[in-house]
Amino acid sequence: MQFNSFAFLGFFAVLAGLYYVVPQRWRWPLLLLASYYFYSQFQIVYVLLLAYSTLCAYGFGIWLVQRETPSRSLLAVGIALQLAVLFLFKYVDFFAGLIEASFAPLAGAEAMALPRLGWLLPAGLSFFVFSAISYLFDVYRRTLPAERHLGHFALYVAFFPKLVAGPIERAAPFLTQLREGAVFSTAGVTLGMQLLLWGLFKKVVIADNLAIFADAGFTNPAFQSPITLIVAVYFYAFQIYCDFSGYSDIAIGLAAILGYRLMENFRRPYFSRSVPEFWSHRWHISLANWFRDYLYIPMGGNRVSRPRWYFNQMTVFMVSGLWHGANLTFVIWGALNGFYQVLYFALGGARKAASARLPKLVWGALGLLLTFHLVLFSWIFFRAASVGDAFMVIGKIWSGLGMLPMLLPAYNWSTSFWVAIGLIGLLLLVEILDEFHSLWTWLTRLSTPVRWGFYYGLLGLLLVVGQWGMSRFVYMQF
Amino acid sequence: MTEMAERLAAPAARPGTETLRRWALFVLVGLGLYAGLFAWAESLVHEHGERNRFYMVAAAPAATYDFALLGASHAMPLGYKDFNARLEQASGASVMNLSIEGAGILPNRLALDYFFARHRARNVVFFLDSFAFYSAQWNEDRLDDALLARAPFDPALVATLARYPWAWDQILPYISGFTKINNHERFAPDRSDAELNKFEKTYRPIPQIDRERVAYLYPAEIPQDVFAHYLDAFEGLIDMVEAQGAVFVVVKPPTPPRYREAVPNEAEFDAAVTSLLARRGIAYHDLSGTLPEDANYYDTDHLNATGVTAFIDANFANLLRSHTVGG
Repeated sequence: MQFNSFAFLGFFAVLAGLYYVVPQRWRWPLLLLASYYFYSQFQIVYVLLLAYSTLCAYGFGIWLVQRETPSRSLLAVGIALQLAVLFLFKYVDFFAGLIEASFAPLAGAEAMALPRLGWLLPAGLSFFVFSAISYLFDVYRRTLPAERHLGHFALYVAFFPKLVAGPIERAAPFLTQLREGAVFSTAGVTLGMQLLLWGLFKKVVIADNLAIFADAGFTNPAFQSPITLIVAVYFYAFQIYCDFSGYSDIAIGLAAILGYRLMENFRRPYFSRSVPEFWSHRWHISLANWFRDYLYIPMGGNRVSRPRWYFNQMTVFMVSGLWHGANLTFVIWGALNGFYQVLYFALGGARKAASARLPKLVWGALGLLLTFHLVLFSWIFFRAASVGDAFMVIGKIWSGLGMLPMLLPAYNWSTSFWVAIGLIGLLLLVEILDEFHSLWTWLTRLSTPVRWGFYYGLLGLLLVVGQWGMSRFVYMQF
Repeated sequence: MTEMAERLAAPAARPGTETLRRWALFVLVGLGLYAGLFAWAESLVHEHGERNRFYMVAAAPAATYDFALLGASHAMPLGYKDFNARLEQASGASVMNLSIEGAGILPNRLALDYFFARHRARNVVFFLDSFAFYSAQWNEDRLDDALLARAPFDPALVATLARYPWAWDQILPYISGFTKINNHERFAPDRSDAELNKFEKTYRPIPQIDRERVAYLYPAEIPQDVFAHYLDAFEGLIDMVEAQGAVFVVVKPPTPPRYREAVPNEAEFDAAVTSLLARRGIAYHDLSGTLPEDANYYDTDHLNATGVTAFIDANFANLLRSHTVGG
């Protein structure tokens, strides 16, 4: 059951109605039941995995606080039990392939044929496993008391708006809200509806219309023209953003309707003026914070020697790449972004000197354009089916740059293309407004006909040009 | 999300009467706008419906046709360009072509059922394709949004859809008009790519493309239980036609020998179908070998304009005439 399906919207409408009708004490059980039902719709047997992850984290959380001093080994076992599931379902086959490839020149491919599990990756596994790990860390660090209420803890792990693609919510704020009990608020429901509408618009209208062009380029790139590939690469940058941030907006909106506050996950990332700003403050914020708190800082963060600091940066980004998918394309994507970070800090002196010579506005615009294109380049590896495909895309674009004047007239400048350009323009317009002043606050100050016109416009576009039932969210596969 | 935090931190309150009134008004205005979208989408259907079978049935004045043609894509070229008129002229019979691309027994039955809600037919000619008996892909799963996106709103079609459980998930999108409102091809005429771009062309055989075509249509192994299931459905279709007082006729359409030789299990299929037809006393015309030359096809197995002309002139018009006279 996808967020961008009428089945889900119907399910949520019934649930939300019921949720506010039943007494407060029945609300968390209702949400827990709904969350497990929601997850069972992907693959019923994987509900067991969700329960396993929950029970392990719950048990180890209590065990951790029963000791006078925090037990590092207990934490390690608790985390290992979580990671074991991730490893089995996501990485065993990948590493088997890597080992085979590594030893093939010595032993021959057939001699090294390792068995494969071939298990289907459960939706959102990486997300709920990371939620459970963050809880264990927080309990170990004594920044969070162990949760004694199994139902509340199970709902923290399984809360359906964030279950399959985040945000990777921390336990402390969520459990506090659960204890306090959500109550109906007109402001919350209105904001939730706004975010739900905007998130659906980003996914169903923008992302899925751009996906047609991105898929056309990245499927068999050897047979595509350079202009098709350039369009695919640029459109993919906006597709992945609208797909993922659309999901986050919907998740945050659904939670708001139910009276819960989830953390912000995106903050207009393509307006970043540097790669560190992109990763630290604007893109997939909940994951970036997770890696900062539970990997980067434990490794020493930046309070180490400069080479070690760079090593920490590269490690975090490569692990982040691997978190996204068991494929070398993701590792390279992570390594590239790590390299951008290291380069940014390594060139600190030169940057300062250059920025001093240029007007602030020009320097900012240059930073924005450079950051966007660096990120865009890394998305090629993220989207390509294989490393070979990624290099094929890069090679064909590079070799075709000189021929662009000849290729441009031959490209199919279809109505769909111009609709896609218009949608990107609309997105950027909204984001520019949002960058200076919160769109939703700005909207509330407008007269009712204008505000409603905006809502009806979005709803109309959802109905008329939306790609309904077309695809799942990209990040759900992680 | 500072703003969100602020708004969610606002004192919780049940919506007041004024808020509820505004929400109700928002929904009402929205419903009004939706009705406008529905009407706009419906008008586009009437403008561009053309070859959509549901549109053809709904748009034609109630009549008794001499022949209704059923089948998959092999029967469709008979309706391309002005060939249906030519067929009617050559045979002296009125014909409505209801064949649907990739459609097996069940979608054909549904289309014919809807046809009978508004029209009558003296004869129903079924173009036989074995692939349509081997998978739900060509049957229960074939009735998709695209087919209903050009179907004008008609309570008779709702009733028809309601009679087929496998079509139930299409009822709500159809009644609500969403299928039409969300049709991305809304401004394009309802004509297949084959009719618009390929029909005048001649195919140069490429063995690999032939193999891919057969692999696309046929499963690697023929599932006998599935075949038996659709053979039963086929007999059900015969029952329905006969209950309407029409004569059921089966035609195996022309295909090139290179294609027929690649089709798996065809001898067994022919034996099973001919046995059923003989038992039911149904006329069966195997015309599959009548046009062996590649010049008659625009791709691996579909008749082009030359092929349709030859087929009508040499075989099909006479066949229809014989059934009209016989009837």
